[in-house]
Amino acid sequence: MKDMFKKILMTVCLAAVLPLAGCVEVAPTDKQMAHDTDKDYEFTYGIRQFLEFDAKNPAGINIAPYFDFFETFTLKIYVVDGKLSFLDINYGDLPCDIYPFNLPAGKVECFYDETAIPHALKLATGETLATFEGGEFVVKFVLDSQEINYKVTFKTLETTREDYEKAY
Amino acid sequence: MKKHTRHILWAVAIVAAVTACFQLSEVIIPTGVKTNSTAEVIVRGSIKPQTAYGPEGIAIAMLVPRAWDVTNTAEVTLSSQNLEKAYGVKDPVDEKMVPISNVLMPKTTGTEGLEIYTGLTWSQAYYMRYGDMGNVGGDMEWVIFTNESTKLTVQDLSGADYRVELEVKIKFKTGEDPIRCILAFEFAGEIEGWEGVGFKNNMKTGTIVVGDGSTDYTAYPLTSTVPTSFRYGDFFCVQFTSEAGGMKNALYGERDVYMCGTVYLADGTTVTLDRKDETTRMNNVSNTLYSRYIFPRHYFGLDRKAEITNLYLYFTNKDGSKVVKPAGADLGFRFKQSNK
Repeated sequence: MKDMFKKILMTVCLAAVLPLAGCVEVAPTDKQMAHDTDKDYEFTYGIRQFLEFDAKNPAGINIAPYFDFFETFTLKIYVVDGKLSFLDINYGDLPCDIYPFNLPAGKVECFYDETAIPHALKLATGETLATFEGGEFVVKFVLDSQEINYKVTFKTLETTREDYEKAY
Repeated sequence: MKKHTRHILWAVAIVAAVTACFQLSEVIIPTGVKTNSTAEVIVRGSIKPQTAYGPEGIAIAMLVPRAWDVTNTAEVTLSSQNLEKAYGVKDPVDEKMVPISNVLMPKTTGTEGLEIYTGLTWSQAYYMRYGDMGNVGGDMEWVIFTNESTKLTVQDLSGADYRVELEVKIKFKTGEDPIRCILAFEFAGEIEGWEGVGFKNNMKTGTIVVGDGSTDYTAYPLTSTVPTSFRYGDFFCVQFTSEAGGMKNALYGERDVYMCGTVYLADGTTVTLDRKDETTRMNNVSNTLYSRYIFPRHYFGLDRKAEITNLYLYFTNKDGSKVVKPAGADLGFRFKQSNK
């Protein structure tokens, strides 16, 4: 029963983590991951799209190609014993905050909240970091104008090679 | 008669009437309007009952400068005449109408290409369908209001031999800008949208001049932004054209155009950007159109907590021998942030 629970948990974690990737290169598939539940992994993601929405552009405009600093932002997720447990967000040179709260520096505890609708990646203290929508994690926010909305999607930059090899 | 019942009945009466022959007869736009004042536009329409219809309600869509913030600050009311004569129901007098601009357009099927409006709000759908109506140089928005009364399905009332007259009054604040622009108005059905047969072809436009009208929304601009409305803590694209309305400016024909300027900060200081390199060079969209996305704090090399209170930009070539600024404006074009 415990093993079954672990497998379910792992699948959930991977379903949550892997879809972050817009263009996965080395990340294993759900099927590969499902048979090994106790390994630790580290996934590093970067910004794939930085979409800007307003009344006249309801479909959004991806402004990521226009700024180099978007490439310096990283989101690192740590899966420990098959459980999504920690993350580390580095704003890099991004000149704005995409969260309305002060993000703790360095590696912080987090969890995947399946009771939330939509499912969400949250800090241990409860603040939502990303929601799981349309098969991927997204971060939605406003900056200054309440009439302009932003949405960030992610791509895989790196999967910890050592752990990956250890797992297979 | 109880107030609620009365509202239902007159709404029913109106609903019946709009079925087949609604005409927006006139728009009265005041003259001599001052900045930072209150003005009133009156929209009148006449309706003649013909067939059973409903449920439905009356909505009015209007194209107005975003700076007026009509959705949140305007008072919009609906009155009628001859409802009592037609149905024995007291005519409403200055009944409040409420904004539905950000509500999803309820019905977007039925005629040509309407699927493209699916999932859009009233405001978005109107903008997509009608655009800025000639206000090429200013930030306009479509706002939509509707009456608050309950709607019901009604019977054929085609026997009436006179029209029911409607009058919508829109009181709004003009803001600090001396705007000259084209206003547009259209009646629509709260449920049927612009597809109700009674609402066809009832658009009317008119020009309003606030103050001296020097901020002319109808003139082709040299600069624009995407989004058109923003605050300094947002990302936006600045566009510059070297030819507008058939007039060429000093930078016409230049391959490389640079965007420089000045920001005022909340602490009273100013920061000027005048370097002309890859960090300020604009992208060539066409032979005459240039653009560059900016995040103002980053563009001017400011601290991430710096608060910008004003932003001016001008356009120049590599050696600075050709510069485009508004006449008499040393700092350049002012890019004003929105209030919200």
